[in-house]
Amino acid sequence: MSVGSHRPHPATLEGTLHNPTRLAVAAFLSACAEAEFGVVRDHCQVSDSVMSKAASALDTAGYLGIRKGYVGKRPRTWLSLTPAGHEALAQHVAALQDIVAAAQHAATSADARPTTPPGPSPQS
Amino acid sequence: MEQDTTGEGVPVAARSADAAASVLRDVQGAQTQARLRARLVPAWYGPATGIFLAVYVVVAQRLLEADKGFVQLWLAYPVAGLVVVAFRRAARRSRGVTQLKDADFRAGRRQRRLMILAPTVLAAGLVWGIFRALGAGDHVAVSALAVAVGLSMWVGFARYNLAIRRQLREQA
Repeated sequence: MSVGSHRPHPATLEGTLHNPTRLAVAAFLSACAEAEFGVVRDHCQVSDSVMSKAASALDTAGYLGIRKGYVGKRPRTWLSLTPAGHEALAQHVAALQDIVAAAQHAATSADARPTTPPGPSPQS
Repeated sequence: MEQDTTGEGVPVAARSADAAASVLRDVQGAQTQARLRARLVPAWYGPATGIFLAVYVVVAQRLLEADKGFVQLWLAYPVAGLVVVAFRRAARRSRGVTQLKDADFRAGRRQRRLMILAPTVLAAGLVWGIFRALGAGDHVAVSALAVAVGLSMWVGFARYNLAIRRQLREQA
């Protein structure tokens, strides 16, 4: 769904990012190079399983890079947004901005439109 | 023409725009949180850096005093370099969020310099000056300088983390 008409290719909402948890994960990861699974989970305030499902869905879509490693002896999972993920998030955000801009534009035009006072219609 | 409205009489377009604006705010909030979290320094980093620098200052002074320039050049510098690299690697791994090397990264580095390095240099100069003015010997002055450097680093990193945690709380 796209509302904007000022771009040659209107931005479209990305289906994978409709889910609030997936969007929160993508948004968080878009501002850092890599983040640990637990940190992203805490930010999204979800359980391990919900976070795992979100990461898996983003991974399937090719938006997420998953790296397993160790800090000392503790296993750690690191998540990062792939270039395709960055692109998808940018498209999604642009589409949302289009929706907001279109609504603002519609509101401005409605305000500017001259209003006719209600009254009896002329009879012939 | 009748406007398409929801049950409460709010136009659907307006509700969509409100929802979109709310999602955009959430996205921006998540990005800000990630940037701030990436700037946080692990709790052990400040004390470890402070102790390392204090020890290094004392060792370097002793080597200089004993006229062991070659030990300084071939042992002390490389070991110190390795320790610095190890500290930075360990800090990056235990941080939880890795920073992007963008404008925000440079801003964070500037903030660290301002909040940690500048007061440390100032404190070191001040302590050195005071002890020399009081007629203290090299050993005492350097020991005081080492303590001042170590404590300044420790306090500097603590202040830096506190400032970021405050911003995180305000942003949440």
